[in-house]
Amino acid sequence: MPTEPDAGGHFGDFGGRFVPETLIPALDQLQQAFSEAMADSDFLAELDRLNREYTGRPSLLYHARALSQAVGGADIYLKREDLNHTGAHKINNTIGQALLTRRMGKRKLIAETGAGQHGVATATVAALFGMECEVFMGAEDVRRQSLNVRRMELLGTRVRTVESGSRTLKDAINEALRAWVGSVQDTHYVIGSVMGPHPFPLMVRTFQSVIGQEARTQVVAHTGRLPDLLVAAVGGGSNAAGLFHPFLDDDVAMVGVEAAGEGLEARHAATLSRGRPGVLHGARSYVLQDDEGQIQEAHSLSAGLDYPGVGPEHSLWKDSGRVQYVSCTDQQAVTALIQLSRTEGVLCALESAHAVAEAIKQARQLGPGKTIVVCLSGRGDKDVDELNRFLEAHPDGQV
Amino acid sequence: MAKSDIEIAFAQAKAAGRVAVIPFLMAGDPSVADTVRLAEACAAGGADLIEIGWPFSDPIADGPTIQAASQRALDQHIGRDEVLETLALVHQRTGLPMLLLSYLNPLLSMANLSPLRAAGVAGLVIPDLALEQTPAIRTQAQELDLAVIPFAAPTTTEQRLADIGRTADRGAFVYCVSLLGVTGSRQGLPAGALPLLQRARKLIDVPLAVGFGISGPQAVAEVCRDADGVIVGSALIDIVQRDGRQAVESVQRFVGELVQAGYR
Repeated sequence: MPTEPDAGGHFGDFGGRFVPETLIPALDQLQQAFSEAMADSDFLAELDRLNREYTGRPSLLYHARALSQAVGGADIYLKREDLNHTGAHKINNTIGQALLTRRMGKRKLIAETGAGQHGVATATVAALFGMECEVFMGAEDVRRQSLNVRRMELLGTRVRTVESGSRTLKDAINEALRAWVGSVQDTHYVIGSVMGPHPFPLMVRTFQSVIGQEARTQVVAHTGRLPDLLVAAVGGGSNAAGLFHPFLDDDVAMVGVEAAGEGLEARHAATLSRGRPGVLHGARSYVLQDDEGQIQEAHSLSAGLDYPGVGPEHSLWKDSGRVQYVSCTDQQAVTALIQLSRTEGVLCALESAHAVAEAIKQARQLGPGKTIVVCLSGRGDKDVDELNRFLEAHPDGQV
Repeated sequence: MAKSDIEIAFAQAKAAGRVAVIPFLMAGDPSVADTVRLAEACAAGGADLIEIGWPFSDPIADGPTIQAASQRALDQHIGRDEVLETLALVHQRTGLPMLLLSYLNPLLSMANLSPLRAAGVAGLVIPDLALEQTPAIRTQAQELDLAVIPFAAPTTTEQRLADIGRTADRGAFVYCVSLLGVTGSRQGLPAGALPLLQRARKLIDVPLAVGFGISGPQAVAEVCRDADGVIVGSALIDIVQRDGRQAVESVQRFVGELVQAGYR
């Protein structure tokens, strides 16, 4: 299995560039700026400085002893991306893209957001770099993530509510792509996950790989060896790609956790488990779609996983068998979130809770003496209202 | 080699001293019968070719008018069978060379493209298929003698225009996007139209049709010396929405005005 895409951005049969012609020159420009930047020691030094001094990297790798003990199996380590400035892994990518935007001489940013974490991370770098910023967000997500909407506004970003389609992340991306087609000469579209047309999947994974690179060093420092298993939640798949990629050539198992929503037979967002290859948002990848190629609405309690597509590199990893993809329901995620909160005093994001739920399950199966690294991609403050609504509606589900 | 229907239609308009007029309608908006009636009205108004859209859930190159048209059709459960039925009827009733506009994913979901050819489609307009992408669909289209219409945009470089010119199907045309943005009627002729057409003319031999934001006869008159064809979609759909039951007459009149405005 190739660990890097070809020149056209193909990960095996996936990826590529399926966008209107208007955008192709901007993608060429971005690709060139990105590959030059990655060979430029000044750029890399600046990225590293911001990661350390602004984001607070390296993020901690925390041995969750109490949770591991409560579960009674393998040792669970949490890669604490929730401790980054702005509270999630998303800023790793937005800093990189903001630096590239400046390098390309553009002054405006647009972005899509689901849970609002990528929107906040983009609004944050826009403020830091003195750039104008507009974030597209589905009306349903504006409702359930109102805290993040207010944060973006306070940072000086204009939040555009998207009323079309399912009024979630998919529709926010449609609208952001449309806006980019109309503004491409002075505006950079900061895609928030390892999706979209080439070079986005490669570029976002590269900026997020800092997660896996650090985790690798840290876990060896803690345990003296590489971990047995990596677990991360997969919506578009950026935190998972960032954690997994530096370990691809190692004898380390990897599990990506998709959102099973209300269950795989009901409404869900398990694109790799239940979708089939198609073209959505600029790349060929697994897609939730009907028999005639219409894109289906996804569902997850977690706005950040509520997406009917997935990054093309994950599609390759699935088909090659390198990564196993499983799913976790809303209820299982909430249960895990509460268990982690009460055992470790760590309130994680609903997205990350999907990975925690799977890690708990896997820890029992692997048993003592084994090591699991879980990407705790974000903090849970944004989800408190949505969690309360869920717990009121599901009183039996409380642990 | 025999000339394609598309080529012939452009040649006839040119011989008449005008730009070819290509109206766009969304299949099944709001019903198959309505689309067929409106297509007949376009033909009666003097259209040279006709373009029919396949409703799609996520039309990223389209503005509010065509998004809404797509949604109305999907709300009426217009699926693949209904699209094929619309295409076949439009072709039978109008006899015009017919283009199908579809995003890639519905086409990828077909076992093969031969039902499109059987329904009378002469060319495919795929907004999310860029020049360098070569899914099997291109080969299939070629085998079926279906032209895949390439796009050129104001941002397209000279190098790419040359590539488009070199690879464009001889029986096809190049779809020139008049502006930076999505489809939708604009005031006046978009500023990007003429510069793109003039750049493209130097590097591309096949006919050039301009679309996106072409709102009416005035814009057609302004562009007709530089373009070989005009594609008018959103403006037409706006008229249908405005006039409801009287739309057949207004569409025929509007297309007639576009044709008249297109004499050089």
